[in-house]
Amino acid sequence: MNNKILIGAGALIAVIAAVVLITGKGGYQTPITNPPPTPIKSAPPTTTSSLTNEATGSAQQVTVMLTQSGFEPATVTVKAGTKVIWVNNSGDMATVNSAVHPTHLVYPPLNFDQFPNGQSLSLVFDKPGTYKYHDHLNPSQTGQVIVE
Amino acid sequence: MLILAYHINYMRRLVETPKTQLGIALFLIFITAFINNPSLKIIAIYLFLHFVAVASDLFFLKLRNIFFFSLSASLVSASIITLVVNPNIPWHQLFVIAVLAIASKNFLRVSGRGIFNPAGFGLLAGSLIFPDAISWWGTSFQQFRVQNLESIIFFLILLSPVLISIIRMKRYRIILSFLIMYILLSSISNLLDPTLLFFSLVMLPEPMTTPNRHLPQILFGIFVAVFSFITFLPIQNFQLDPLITSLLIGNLIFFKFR
Repeated sequence: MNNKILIGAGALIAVIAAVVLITGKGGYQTPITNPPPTPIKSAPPTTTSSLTNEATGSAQQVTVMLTQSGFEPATVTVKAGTKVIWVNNSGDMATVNSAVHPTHLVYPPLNFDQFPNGQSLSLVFDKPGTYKYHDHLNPSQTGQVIVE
Repeated sequence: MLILAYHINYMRRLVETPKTQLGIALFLIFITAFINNPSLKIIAIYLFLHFVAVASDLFFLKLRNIFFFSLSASLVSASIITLVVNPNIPWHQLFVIAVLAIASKNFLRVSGRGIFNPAGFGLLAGSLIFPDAISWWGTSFQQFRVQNLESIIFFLILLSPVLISIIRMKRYRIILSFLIMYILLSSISNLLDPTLLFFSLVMLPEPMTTPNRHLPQILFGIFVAVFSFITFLPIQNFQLDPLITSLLIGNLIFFKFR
């Protein structure tokens, strides 16, 4: 009898949680949503400084290079409203996805489709916080954006 | 001649066991991971983790005064850890993760059966102590690309545990219920995700720590899928691996129903 109650309770919890998640009423973003990448003109591969902090008008932007050894720099600290640009110089397809692999739920706007070598993605970070990400195709390559 | 025949027969029976066959499948997956990421360090990590797993298993069995020893369980755990652990962490962290995995197999037991998936326990406990210990490096690159023969072969090798988990051990209820619920909660495209497939075919249906009866198997699979979407902690700089966390919580909740 106790076993049946526990199984029933577990099933009920699972069903309720599933309904909440599917209908999106639990306050969570739809998992694994991949907004189309915001392509900008391809940046030529560089082997020199991989961090550029340029002020363009009133908006700032920071560039992160994805190479074969990972994201460079792995950590960038920016002000709110800064655009972070990821340039794929890895020689292969890559992605930028929010932590945690493989559900990518911590910050869904940071989930992008695969982008080929030579292409770029960008995202404007409006709110302070620490945003961890990784390459889904090579999850040991990680990075983070610290927004002040 | 009789002794030789005995050993041959023993080896044949050993190879026919699901655990050994799973170990062979994991070794093949490791080979593809090495081809994709060739480095001596990867081989060294593989050998190191297997050595530590076997040595610690021997040590713990001696502590428990158990003299029968089968290599296959500790080798399988070591293979899984090799493919999932972050290969860039220091050697002492790898050591701790392997020892924790084998310790859970030996000491976290009820009625003679382990509670937690050993590799999962070692990895998660290790990630609680050492940040970024889990990376799934060996099970994320096998993207299915129709136009690339190598990727197709790697993908098929990744699927090879199907022969053991689904056909031999008949744990298809756990696997299918998990995958169906996971896809319902996310996207159909995840069906081909290599990390998800590896987790569902290798780690999820581990027979010693999952239910044996049909209904609990289905509920277990559903539970792990659902929980993997709510186990991330929205705390800066600290995020648990969702799949392994939900697997271990599922092990704990469902161990009474085996």
